[in-house]
Parts: sequence; structure tokens; C-alpha cells
Amino acid sequence: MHEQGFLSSYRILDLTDEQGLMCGKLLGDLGADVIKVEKPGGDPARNIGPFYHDIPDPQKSLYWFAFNTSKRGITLDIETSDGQEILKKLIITSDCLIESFRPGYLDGIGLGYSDLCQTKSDIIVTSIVPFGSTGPYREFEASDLVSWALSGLLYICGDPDRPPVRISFPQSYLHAGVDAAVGTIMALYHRGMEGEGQKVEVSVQESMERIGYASRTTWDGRKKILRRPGSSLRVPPFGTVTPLIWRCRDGYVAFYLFGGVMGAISNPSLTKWMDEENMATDFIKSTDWSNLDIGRTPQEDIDLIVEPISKFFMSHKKSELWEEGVKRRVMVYPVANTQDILDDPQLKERDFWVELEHPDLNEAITYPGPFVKSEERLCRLRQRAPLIGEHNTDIYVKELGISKEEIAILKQCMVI
Amino acid sequence: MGKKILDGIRIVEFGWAVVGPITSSWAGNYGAEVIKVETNTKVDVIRTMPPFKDDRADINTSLFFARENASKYSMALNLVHPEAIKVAKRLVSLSDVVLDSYTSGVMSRFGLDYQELKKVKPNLIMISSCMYGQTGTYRSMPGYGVPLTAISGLTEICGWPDRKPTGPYGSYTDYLVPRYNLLAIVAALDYRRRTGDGLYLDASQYEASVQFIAPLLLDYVVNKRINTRQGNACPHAAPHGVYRCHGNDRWCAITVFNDEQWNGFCKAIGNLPWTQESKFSTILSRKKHEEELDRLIEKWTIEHTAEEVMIIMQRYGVPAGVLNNGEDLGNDPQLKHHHYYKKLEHPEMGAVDYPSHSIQFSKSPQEVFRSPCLGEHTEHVCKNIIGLSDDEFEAYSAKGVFE
Repeated sequence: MHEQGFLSSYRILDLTDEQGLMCGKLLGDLGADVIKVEKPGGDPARNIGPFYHDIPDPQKSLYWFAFNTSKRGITLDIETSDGQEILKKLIITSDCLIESFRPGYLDGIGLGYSDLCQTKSDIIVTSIVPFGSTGPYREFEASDLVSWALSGLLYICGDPDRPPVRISFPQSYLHAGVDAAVGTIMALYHRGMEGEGQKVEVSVQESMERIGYASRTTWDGRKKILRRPGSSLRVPPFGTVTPLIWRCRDGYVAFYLFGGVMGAISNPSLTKWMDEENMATDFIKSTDWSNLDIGRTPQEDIDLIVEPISKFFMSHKKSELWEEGVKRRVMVYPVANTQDILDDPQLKERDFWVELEHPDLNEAITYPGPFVKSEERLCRLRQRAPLIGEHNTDIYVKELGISKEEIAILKQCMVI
Repeated sequence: MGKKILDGIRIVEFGWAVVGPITSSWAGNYGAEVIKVETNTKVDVIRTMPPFKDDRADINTSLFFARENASKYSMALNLVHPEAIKVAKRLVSLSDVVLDSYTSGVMSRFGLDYQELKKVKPNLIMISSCMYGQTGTYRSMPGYGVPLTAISGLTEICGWPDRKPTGPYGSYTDYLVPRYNLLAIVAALDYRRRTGDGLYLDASQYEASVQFIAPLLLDYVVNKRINTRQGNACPHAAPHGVYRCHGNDRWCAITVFNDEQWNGFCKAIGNLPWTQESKFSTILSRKKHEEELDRLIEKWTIEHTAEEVMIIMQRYGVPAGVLNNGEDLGNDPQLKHHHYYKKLEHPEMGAVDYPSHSIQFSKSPQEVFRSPCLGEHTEHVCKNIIGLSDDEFEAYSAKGVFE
């Protein structure tokens, strides 16, 4: 049997907001027929910037573009009786519904898991919730920053002399969104083996907790509170400080001054490179890298190593350090910005970037490609994100057989 | 609860450090029988990494290793030994999935690349998860999570605009990539279930990581804008930050996105006179006076514990949360409600907290069992899974195959 995608035989109804868009995108890229169900007028996530040519228009959100590839789109007000009836019709031909409403919302309007089971007994419902559909934080209001906070990750991020700090672009929904896609596919697999559907739930707080790995373990094993280290490393047992982020001529590079086995990979080669440019000091040339134990070396000696390396990095651009570093196997990496990533030769060589046509904009836009490569491109970006209600006719008229007259009524009643 | 979803699936992990081991560990939570192939001759680096239980460093006492290697078995196999390759292939022939997280080229040097393994298991699913993928100039460049976070654009956008970037804590992408790896594995398992075909998955950690800034990449493509770090600010929300609370290094995050939340916020702090000033009445004016706003808020939060701030804010519908530290996480009422940490007995560490994975199924259980000691299950795997006789096992053992 030949199939176009990993999930070609499935249909997914995507009722998520910002918290779950990634989940549906991934299922679509993997080949499922994902139908994004939006409120009439469009999903609020269409108002999230940045925007195409900085035009703040719900049809031009780059945030929306990025996380809704490979989906079709319809509009439907599921709070109206007509809307609920239509949704139930769609459920019959669907395998799964994904949602990120407040816990209990769908039950409240008669579209909860048990209601949907009446329509289709083996339906799968995947919910992305900030904390849990049960438990003391069930009703809590959440945001990306709040999820960082309660997950324990935020406490250990940032400079010690400033408040803890997050990544300036929301991440928590993306971690949870990938987990939700995993859960959805596992439930589909289970249904394929055992014949039963079920509820799947992903907690954003728990998805995020995994990231700050050292926080809980440090308390659990040593009864110590781990604190934010900033852009330097304090190496035990003496607490010798080495930079992790270093300035270079046009930005920053990440370089970890390892001792021992790891140091023996990069450091002799780096020293040689510095020496070729007359920038290696006698001290650095005489350092026995494989026996260097940074945590037990006095700070003054480490400073004698750090200083010439700093000068050397400052004399080069990050792209020079990176490209030459690859050749010499010196593990110095650029702190890349988005331009650097678009220019990166490795991603180009691997044909990572894909062009998606936007006929409405008369343009093809370059997108980051699929997260995994396989034979026959079973995972790929199939089409650009849908416009508001772009597939209403395909779904409502051609598939469900609703007449044009009825469509006009539903439109006037703000159902679609 | 019925059976676990991945019951009956066997995964052989040729893992290293964090990404490979976590991917298979999560699959193990949902029932896959995961066999980690490792060796005493070149110990998986994560076994040598702190924190250690009671600061006692040993290959079986790293809490870092434990946390990321729950729910799997350990088989010691020295792959440098030619006879070990035979044993590995016999194991693969009886398995469903092979996962490797070595640098590109290492598995083929062992003779364990997909082309070879497919010969012993025709419908094998194999995923290779290295830094930059299996092709291209950088394919064999070594690396780890901290620099991958930098090269993927995530370090640049974490920190304060007036300072060099700090980046998120540690090896951030090591906790992003395994989610994608597991996604690829379960998608391939369902594909195999329907079509009968296995396949090879080339999973570049770099290509997975940049997905998390996709809109910013489009912003550069379309608008030629390069985004950078902005502390905790959010362009369309104020207040939006982390505020110092009563106590030593205690903090609460407070975020206000609309009028309703702003009114709730004002009520929560008792309608202090400054909250009524016109310069704070709209989102545009709050953004304009954000620094002053943050200072005034902190004057209030510093008088309260972080827990009090969160509870009162939430009572009035304002998204707010304590910055949980390592101790707090164990007392977090929501995590406790879910029994998120499982306290399990480890033979060399005693009781250890193991986290669950974030997905809950209504009909299929998740079960976390403790991480293995190095080589703990070698004999079990050889005799009960591969079917070696006692004599064969002893003979291999004598040759150093299981070191």
C-alpha cells in the first residue's frame, strides 16, 4: 500500500487557539487532513504579530502562517445549535478533535468527549490545558510567562543580578503542541490496534517542567536550590567562573571552555589556530588541556586562558569562527540570529527551506521545512495556512451537501 | 486502565548524552520495551554529569542520568568488539525501532547503519538524531545542547536588550528535540501498522530546533527584520514581567493582556491610588510608562509572599504564577494532584524523584520505572530476549563483548 504521508488516512478537526496550533500543523505536515475550525471572522491568533509587510491584518499574520501550514480552514460558531449540528456531522468523518479551550468548556456546550462519543463511539479528543482539567490550578489563568514560572524553568534562567528571564518569543505552547501531536498519534495507533478511542490530555506546565532538568534533581539529591547562572558557568568544586557566551567582532559566540576529555577535542586545535594568527600566549600554549580540571584551577590561571581567547574571538566574525571551527573541529558556535539561520550553508545544502505559494499575495514565501526527513517526503509542508473560511465551500457544500441557500442563511446568522 | 499503548514494541537505543536517551525513556513510559545499549569502556557522558546523589560521583549515581533514563533496560555491549556487532544485530532482528543519537557516521563505522540493519529486520524503523542531520558539510561536527540552542537562534532572543544574551538554562534544545523524535517514531509506527513498511528517519536536531522560532524566521524572510531579546516584555501586554516578592530570591510572574485583567489586577492590589492614574488606564499608556509601572508593582509585591501574590491575582482573573524553585516543585499543589513526581527506590541511590511525561490517556496508563544501573540487564536481554544459551553467554562474556 502506498501512501502520501505518515498519517494520510486520518482527518483531524483542529479547534485549538494559540496554545495548540503547533499540534495541528504537525499532524498536517505528517499527512493528515487537518481542518482548522475558526470562529466566524477568524481565530484570535490571527491577530498575533509579526505581520506580512507589517500590515496588521488577520489574513497576514506570520505567526498564523507559521503554525497553520498543511491545514484547511472553515469558519463555524460552535456555540450556536446549527454550528453544533454541523460540527457533529464533521465528527462522523473525523478521527480526532484537538482543542485548547478552558477545561470544561466543550462539556458546557454539549460537545464534550462523552457527547461526541454518542456521535462517533471511537472518537479521540486531545486537549491541551495549561495545568490540568482537574486539580487546584484547573481554573487558573495562564500565559506563556506564567507557564515558564510554574514549571520551574524560569527560576533558573537569566543573569543573577536581574530578575529571571524567559525567551522573548512564546515557547510553552510549542513544547505542549508537539507533545499533544505525539499523544494524538499514539491514541490513533491504539485505536488501530484495539479499536477504541479515548481522551488525551497534555499539561503545558508538565511539558515545560522537563526543560529545567537540574532544578528538581539538585533539590532532590543535594537539598540545594539551583539559581540562575547567567551567561557564565561556575564550575564546581571551587566555583571557577568561565564565560559561556563570548563577544566576537559582529556579535556573540557560544564556547564552553572544557577541561579533561572534552577539552582535549577543541582546545589544542584552537590554540594552534590562535598561534597561526600570533594570538596564542605562552601560557595558553603550555597548558596541558587533557589534564586541566577547571573547577580546581584558581581563577587567576583560568583568566590567563580566557583573556587571549576573548581577544582572538573579538578579532573574528561569528561566521568566520563557525566555518573555520567546523574545519578544525573547534566547538565554537555562533549565537545566531534569524538572518544567520537563513544564510546557513548546512540548511541550504540539505534543502531545508521550502517555498509555499500564497496566491492571494502573488508571492511564494520561504518557510522552515519539515522537522524530519524520510524517504518519499512523508513529512512535508503541504500548503500555506488557510485564509478565513477558505474551505467553507469544499466542506459545507461539496462534502456535507448543504445547499447554497442554506449557506446564505447560516452566513447571515453568523454561524459560518 | 487497559494495556499501555506501546506494549509489544521493542526499541533499541544507541543513545548518548540527552536527546536519544530522553526520547526512548518517554516511549518506555507508555509501554515500549526500551533496551539501552551502552558500554563501560566509554561510559555514556550523562552518567558522569552532576548532580549526583549526596554528591557521591559514580556511574550509577547521577541524578541527571536517572531523570532522563527512566523506564528502560541497560545492556552493556562493547561495540568496538566485532562479536558485539553480531549480538547487536540479533537484538535488532527481534526489535521494532532503532534509535541512535551518535554523530553522523558512527553507526556505519560499527556496521550498524540502516542498510545493514534492514537486512536482519526488513520492516525496521530507524531514527538517527544527530546535531545537523546525516548529510551536508556539518554532518559530522560534534556538539551538544548548549551550542545548538545558540546556533538555532534561541540564545540570541533570551536575555536583556542592554546586555549580552544569557540564553535559557542549560541545554534547552535537548528538551525540545526529543518531542519531535518521539513524534517521528510514533508516526512511523502507525504508518508501519497500516502499510507494513518500516523506514529510515533522518532527524536533524538543528532542523527541529529552529521550528520554535518559525514566525521570526518568516519575519526576516518577508520583512527583513531581525528580532532580538527583550527581557520579559511582551509587545502587547503590560504589566508583563517577573516581580520580586517577600523572602530571599522569591518571584512571581504577572501578565495583563486586556482591560478585564487590568481591572482585576487593580482590585487585587486593593485599588492603590496610582492604579487609577490615567497614564496606566490603557494598554498604550501602560506600555509607554512600563518601567514606572513595574517599579510600583514591585513595591507592592515585595510586601507579600510569591504564593500570596499568585493566589490573589488568580482570584481576580489575572494570569500569575510563582517562580517555582527546585524545592517548590515538589510542593506544587497541581503537580502533586497529578502525582507528577514518582518517588522510586534505586539500588544505589535510594529514593529518587522521577518526573512523569506530560501526556495522560483516559484509557491507557503511563508507568515510570526507575533508571537502570550500567549493564544491569545484559544477561536478561541476552538469555530471555535474544535467546543465547548459558554457554554462548559465558563465551561472549569471556571475550569481553559485554564490557
